[in-house]
Formats: sequence, C-alpha cells, structure tokens
Amino acid sequence: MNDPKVTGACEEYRALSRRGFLRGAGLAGAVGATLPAWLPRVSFASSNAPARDVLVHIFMRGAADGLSIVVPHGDPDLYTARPNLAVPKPGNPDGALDLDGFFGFNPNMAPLLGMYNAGHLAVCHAAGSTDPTRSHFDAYKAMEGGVPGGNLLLVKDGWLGRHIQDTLPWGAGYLRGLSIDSIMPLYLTGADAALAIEDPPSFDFPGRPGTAIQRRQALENMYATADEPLKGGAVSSFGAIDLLTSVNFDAYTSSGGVPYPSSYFGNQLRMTAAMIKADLGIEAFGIDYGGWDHHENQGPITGLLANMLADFTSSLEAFYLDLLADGWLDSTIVLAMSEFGRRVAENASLGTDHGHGNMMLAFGGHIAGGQIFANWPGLAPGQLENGEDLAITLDYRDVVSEILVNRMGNTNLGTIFPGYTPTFPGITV
Amino acid sequence: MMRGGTPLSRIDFSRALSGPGQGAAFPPLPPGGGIPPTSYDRLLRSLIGHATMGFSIPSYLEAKAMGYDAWLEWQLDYENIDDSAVDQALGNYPTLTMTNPDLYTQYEFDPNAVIFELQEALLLRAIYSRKQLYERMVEFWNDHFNINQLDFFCMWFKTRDDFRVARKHALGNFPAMLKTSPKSAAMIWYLDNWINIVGQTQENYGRELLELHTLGVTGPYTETDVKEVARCFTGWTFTGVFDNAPPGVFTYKDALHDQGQKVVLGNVIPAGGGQSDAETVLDILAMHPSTANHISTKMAKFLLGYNPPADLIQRLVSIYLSTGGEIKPMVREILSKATLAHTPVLEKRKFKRPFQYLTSIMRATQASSNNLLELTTQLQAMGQVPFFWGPPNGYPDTAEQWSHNLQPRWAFASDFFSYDLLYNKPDLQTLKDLMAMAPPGLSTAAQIDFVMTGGDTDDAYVAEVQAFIDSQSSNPNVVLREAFTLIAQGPSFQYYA
Repeated sequence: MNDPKVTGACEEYRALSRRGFLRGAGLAGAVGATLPAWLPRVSFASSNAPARDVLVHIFMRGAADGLSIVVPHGDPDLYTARPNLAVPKPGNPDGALDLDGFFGFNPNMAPLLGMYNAGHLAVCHAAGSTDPTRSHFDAYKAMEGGVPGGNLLLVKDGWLGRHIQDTLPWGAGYLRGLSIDSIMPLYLTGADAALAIEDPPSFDFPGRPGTAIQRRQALENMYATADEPLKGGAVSSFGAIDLLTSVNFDAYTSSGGVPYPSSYFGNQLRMTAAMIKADLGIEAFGIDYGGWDHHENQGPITGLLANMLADFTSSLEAFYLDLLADGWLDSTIVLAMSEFGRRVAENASLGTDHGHGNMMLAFGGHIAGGQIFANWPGLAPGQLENGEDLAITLDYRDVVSEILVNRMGNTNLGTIFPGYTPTFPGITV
Repeated sequence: MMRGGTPLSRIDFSRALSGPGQGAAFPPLPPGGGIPPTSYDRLLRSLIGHATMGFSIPSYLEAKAMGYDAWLEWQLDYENIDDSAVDQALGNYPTLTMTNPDLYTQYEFDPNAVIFELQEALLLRAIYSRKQLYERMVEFWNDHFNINQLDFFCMWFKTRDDFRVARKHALGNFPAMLKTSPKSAAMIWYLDNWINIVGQTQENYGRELLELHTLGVTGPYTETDVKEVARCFTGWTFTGVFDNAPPGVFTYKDALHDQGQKVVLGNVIPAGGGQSDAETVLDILAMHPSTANHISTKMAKFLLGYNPPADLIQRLVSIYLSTGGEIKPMVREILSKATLAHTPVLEKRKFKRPFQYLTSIMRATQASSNNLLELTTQLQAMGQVPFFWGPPNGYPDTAEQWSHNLQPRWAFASDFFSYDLLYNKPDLQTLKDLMAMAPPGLSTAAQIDFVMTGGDTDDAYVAEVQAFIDSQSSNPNVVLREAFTLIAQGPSFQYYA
C-alpha cells in the first residue's frame, strides 16, 4: 500500500480503495467486454491524482436562519429585533458558543467546535445570493443556477453541473456528480455524468444474472441511439451501476472514532465517505438537507431548529473525523449554503419570515478555517436591506469561484457565473 | 415556501409488505384486435397516450370502436362513465369520504392508515378506473395545489382536500376550485394561513396564491401585493386551533381579521369587509388575464407537450376568459383531433414521470394487484410518491429532471416482470392473450411492443429485443417475460407521444 491516502487504513478501507476495487473486480472485465464504443472508457485516476478536491455540496433547502446558527451576539440590535428568539450571549444559560468575541455558534452546534479550532472550518456571514427574490423557488433558480439578478426564466442548469461539464474528468468519467436523492437538484443539472441516486447500495443492473450480459447489451444498443437527455442519463446509469456495485456500503463504518448518527443525513454522509475513499472518480456530491423554513415555533435553542442543528452538526462531525483519520480531508471540501436568510425581526408566531443575507459553512484540509469571513453590515434598522433584512457583503459566488479555481481545476469561470467577476475571499489554502 | 424535510420525504412503508392488502383487477379482455393499424390508429394511440395513465389494448379497441371525437367526449363526460367495479373497490377505503374531524379523532394515533388509504385509492383509480382523462386532470390539479401529506395535520386532512378541491372540480370550473382551496384545512395548515392574523400577518399562503395558484411568478404583482393579500386572508383558519371544536373544519374568525382597507393589484378593498375581503381577492385573481395565461400554459404543457404552440395558448386563454374558467372546453381544445394531428411527434412527446411509468406498465399488461400499497414503495425508489412532494410547486414535469433516474425504472420493470414483487405480478396467460390480439405477421418482440405501446417502439429497438429472444434457449416463458422487461426498460417506453 503505497497510496498515501490508504496508508494506515483499516482492512475495510483497503477493500474499498481504488486498488482494491480494481483487484477484486472481475466485474470490470466482464462488463468492460460488453461496452459499446459510444460508452466512455473507464480511466481510473492515476496514482498521482491531480490536486483536485472532491466537493460535498450541502444545500440547506428552505432558507436556514443564519442569525440563529452563527449568532452575531456582539451586535446589540440582534436582541432588539428578536426579544424572544435570539440565542443569548455567551456565558448566559443556553448562550452562544463564542468564536471570536462577536460571533458564536448556536449551543446545539458544539460538534463543529473541534474542526473550527483545528483550523479546518471557515464560517462566512452576511453572505449568500444577492438575488432580491423572496420566493424559495426563484431563489433556488438564482443561486443554484448561478445567476442572481439574472433572467430566471432562462435557467436550465446549475453552477456545479456546468463546472463538471466544462472541466475534464479526473477519474472514471462515468459518474462525476452524484446527488444522494431520487431527484436531481438544479445545481447539479447540466452535467452528462451526473446522477441522482437515492440509495447507492442498491444501484445495480436488475434481473436474472444468467442473462444480464445479453440484456444489458440490448439496452445499451437501444440507448445508444436515444435522444438527449435520455441518452446521457443512460450512459451515466450504466457507468454508475458498475462503480457503485463495487463498493461494500453495508460494511462501511467510520474510522474517526465517532460513529455516524443513524439519521438520514448521517447515513448520507456515511455513504459519501465510503464513495470518496473508494476513489470512484466522483468529483462532487450533492446532499439536500431540507426543512429550515421555520415560519412558526422556530425553537432555536430547544425545538425544531435546535434538533435539526444537533443532527446536522453531529453528522458533519462524524464525517469530518472519518475523513481526517485517513488523510482524505486533504482532498475534500464540504460547503453548505441556503437560498436566502430569514428576516432579522422575529414574527408573532415565534418564527421568522423570508429574508436575505445568511451564513455559509466550509470545511476541508485546504480551507482557511478557524476564522470568520464577514464584513458585518450591522442589524440596526438603518443598516438593513430594504429596512428589514441582513445585507449581503459576501457573494456566495466569490466563495464558490475560489474553491472551483484553486481546488477543483476550473479554468473558465465565465460559464459558471456568467457576467460575474469574483473576488476571492481567501478561503482556500 | 416549502415545508417538511427533504424534497421527497420518507415514510415507513413496511406495512405494505406485511401481506396481501386491497387489490384490484381489470375486467376480462374484450374480443377484437388482429387488424393492421392505419395512420388514424396512430392518432388514436396519441390521444390515449395523452389522455390516460397509459396505453392498453382494451382502451385502444374502445377508442377505435367509438371514434376519436366520441371517445374524447365520453371521457370528458366522466360523470356518466360506468365505473362500478372501481366504485365498489373504493368501498374498501372508508377514510376517503370521512370529514376532517372524524379522520382526526378516529385515526389520531394511526395517521398512516389515512395516508395509505389515499395512496392506494389513487393507484386503484389511476390504473383501473375507466375515467382515465378525469384521473389525469386530478393528477394535474393535485400538483397545482400541491400539499405535502407528511406535514402534520395534512396526514389526516389531505384526504378531504383531494376530495373537495381536485376531484370535485377536476373537469369543472377553475374559479370554483380556486375558491375551495383556501377553505381546505390541509392548505390552511400547509401554507400557514392558520397563523395569519391581524397585526401579525403571515404571508406564506398569499405569496403562493399569487405565484403558483393564479397569476404565476411572472405575473404583475409586487411584494406589497403579497402583504396586502395576506392581510385579506387574516382570520381564515380551521376549527381546533383557536377553539376546542373537533379539528379541521374551515372557519372564519372575524376577531382575527384585519379590518382595515387594503389595495390589491390596484383594487381598493374598503375597510370593514370581513370575510368578503379574501373572496374579493379570489374574484380578482380568478378572472385576471395573467391567471388565464398561467393556467392555460401549464395545462397545455401537462397534457400536450413541453413547448405548446403559442396559438394554442391564445385559444385556451380566450376560452378561459369567455367561459369564466371552464376546464372542460380547454381540455377538449388541447386534445382535439386538430391539435394532436397537427402537432409534430417531437413537440407532443413527453417523458413519463415515475407515476405514469408505473401505471402504464400495469395498464398495458392488464395486471391485477393483490396489494396496491406495494406499488407505492416502488414509487418511492423512483422518486414520486403521490402527495409527498415537499415544496408547494408540485412534482417537476420536465424530461431533464427525471431522465437521470433510469436505474430505478429498470429495476421496477425487471422486478415486476420477473415476479420479484410480492403482490403485483403480470399474468402470463393474459400477456399471451394480449399478444394474440396484435396484427398478424408480427415477430414476438413486435407483438410485445404492440401490447405495451400499440406499436410505437422504434423498429430498431424491437429488432434488438427480437435478437435477444432468438439468442436464448432457456425456458421460453422466462425469456418472454425478459423481453417484456426490455421493451419496458427501453427508450421508447419512457415517453408517450
């Protein structure tokens, strides 16, 4: 085992590693013999894999309340605007977990403190998509489509999908983007080699084994002449079947010392870690974590939001420690964002309505962590966007652009964020 | 706005596999068939493809016997279709006709029973009902007025909403349906109008009413209109939240209503209007030209194709405005012989969503079911469990969003034809009887394609399947079922045109 990524790995990881996959794979030979010419060839990552990070993009669907997640406890106007909902200052009962004297984590986010203090987790605030809409659906189109302020009627694909489509594969090429869901999210739409798979462990070629090769050949021949987007979907489906059947998901456990929570999100991250370490050539994972739209009874300290944050952050902690233990954190970046933030003032239902600016989270071996990227606009009435919302002083496109260029081999941002000239905030190292 | 968990929420369907449940079957096959199709038959198949939950030889023979126009009129006049077999089977689902208070009180600790009955009944109707066009429109309106059944009270209340909004008005009058929706307890809960009260407006319902239900996102409304519409709907709530009455009956609470003057889309709604404020808003919205355009466009995209011709939309808008939003003449216009005959195949070809992919396999094979809920578990893998879409915009209806998800379809087709499902299996003799109804002189694969699509699969694909059959020497019945699988897994069957 001279692959540094696998050194020190336990037996399960070796079984999952790229080399293990190749060695154990009678499958690669059997199936490879039946591949028609139109199907792209598997070209596994060379042992000198380029310095390109795998992106795990987590979309916090529903407009998460950034002001309750990363609390600007140093801004007194927070407590004026939210007499019932604001997370108390550090040192008080249920108080925020201080980060830098001005911002603090929600007390339910203690699992993220370790990676922040280790310098791997960076927090962005007063950040997000500058599109003015307060419709979730238009906001999705703007942010996922990568065109805030643009013509949303023209949005057909997403920034991550276009990135994949416009860069050369560095792995197998069959399956470069994977959404662990049954429906493709907009941000990953637009890449031929991207798939939405709800349950990767059961993604196999169905039917009687004795006729599998002939049946598959017949289907491949049919789909070779199908129209797009169906043809592309079939190419990815066949390739993904071969890759995913090589991974022993059931046997996979964390090597980070902290087991994955049994929650849906915890299991999604567990499977993601298995696929990253199996080195299948998947360059980007998309995971939706929905349900942040708390118009009533938000419960930031105990209640709806608190419970979600506890699950969200303990799952991320398990994932972080798992990747860290085997050196995979060095080639992985986790990025979490939401379509917009919530209004600064609480509403009468102990909840919050649709707002604008928000927080973002990023961690990885090459993230300039342990710091907060924020040019705080303030929460006083005169400082608010439209008199009611947190303003945006850090465009999410700046953060994404820096990651794509510095860590994911992108050389043409013009097609990712048309008409936008990003300023790198310095979030990668 | 969206509620609930991930876009597709999850539920434990283990009950579905606990034993045979409510089932259903098609009537015996009619005599007929064996006649070479003409170009007119191709048009009939196009009509069946667009107006039903999937092609079947019996439907095809029915349409052939009646003629295009008569069959369409028969389907439009759905109340006079004899559907007694399905009506009788629906008797097995007592919750379908229960009121919200009864549903909540009797099933407070077993909401799954309510959820599963509505799921099963939907599958029963979609697959076996003779009112196929009506079921298509019910599907359309349930997406239009989407409610996530997993959003707490909606577990009990969606059943009533389905009954009183989508099913009551599916081929009726849109303004009437629109005015029923905000009185649905499920909608009031789902879009938070129950906490929309004077001085504390909650704009969630108001926004979606404008953006999704009526004017459309490009409609001529402002953020101020959203807030003003929300003020008009203050006090529209249901029993059980501000009183001790059994929950789930619409009630207007004057004390919670904002009595001040409002201005909506430039219309002054004077102070003191009480409940009539929101009714005025609904009147304004119902007959607004933007609503007519939004509904016309969306309906044509659903029933005809992804890019409906502009002149068709114009005709639909004028039908809508001149009839006061009557749905039947709009559907008649979209599915008319003139429209379908003059729309090129590629312009009217639509990618089957998972629900229709599943129903079209069940219908083509005339399969009976011993447990319809098992099919819901299959829909979960494919990504379209009815009533489980979280956001209020309804399940997506584009080829791009579903075509990446082929393996779950292939797996469903394979499991079904391989007898790997526990309670939903095709009957081999029925498959053979259906094949015998194909025109004379066809290959085995072409006969199978006739059963599945009426003959619309590409010739090259049929040849591919025939080559597979010819290459096999094992049990011919197993090979036959694998050949059916291949046709259902192939590219042509993913569409209707």
